[in-house]
Amino acid sequence: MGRSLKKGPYVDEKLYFKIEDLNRRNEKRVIKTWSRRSTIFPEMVGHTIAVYDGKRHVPVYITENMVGHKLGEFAPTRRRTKHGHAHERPTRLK
Amino acid sequence: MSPRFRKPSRVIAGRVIKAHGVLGWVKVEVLSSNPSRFRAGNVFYLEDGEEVLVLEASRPAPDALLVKFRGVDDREAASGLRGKDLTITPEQMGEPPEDAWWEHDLLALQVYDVDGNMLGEVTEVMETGANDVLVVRGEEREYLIPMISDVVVEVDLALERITVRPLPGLL
Repeated sequence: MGRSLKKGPYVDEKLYFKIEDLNRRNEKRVIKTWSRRSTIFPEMVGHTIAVYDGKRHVPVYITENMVGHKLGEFAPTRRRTKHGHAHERPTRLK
Repeated sequence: MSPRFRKPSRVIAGRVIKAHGVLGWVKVEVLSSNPSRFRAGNVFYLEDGEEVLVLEASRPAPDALLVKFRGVDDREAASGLRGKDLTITPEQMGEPPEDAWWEHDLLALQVYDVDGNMLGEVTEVMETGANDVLVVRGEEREYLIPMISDVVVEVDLALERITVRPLPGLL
């Protein structure tokens, strides 16, 4: 069952205030968070948030099309790659 | 100083999940971005070994691909492949798309910051659903570097070097 619309989307308050603060000062820095359940707000676009994956903080650059998703969706907790190996896949700068 | 990371000689294109049926077919998780990789006649290696598998036929299955290799004709032989990686050589991949690098090409590159300090070597490229992330093994710890233009200044494959400008709070 989905979250009630009356409550609005959830976001960790501390994280939201830190982002607001960075936006006010027009500053870019990586913010660490353990709150995988926080919804991505439009205010977060353009920032890099290091999301905890259970072991380490994975830096995730927030873009417009990620708004409305949860932070945890972008920091997988399981790995598909065997350590030290690569898949046949191109990688590019975002 | 820790020993240098050795770049693997093979690239993983798929992984055998399990045998399918009794005629030697196997279910394969595709780990390749090349849509023609699993066409009949293509050659794969088993893990890092020299054993060659020639693809005879393939057909789609939900969330996977059903594949038949030449010489694998019964369930017992197919079960022996379970959990094994299907690999290819880097030469089989060809040129990367424009403005991109193969994951394999970035492995073992040395990462420096803009001041010339060495951070370590790339040991893995993580796929996150947003930007890719370089896992860099340094002398004392591991660094995660996002593949974003704000951070990665230059990738020089000839010099085997990546230059980064870390954002505050990243390292």
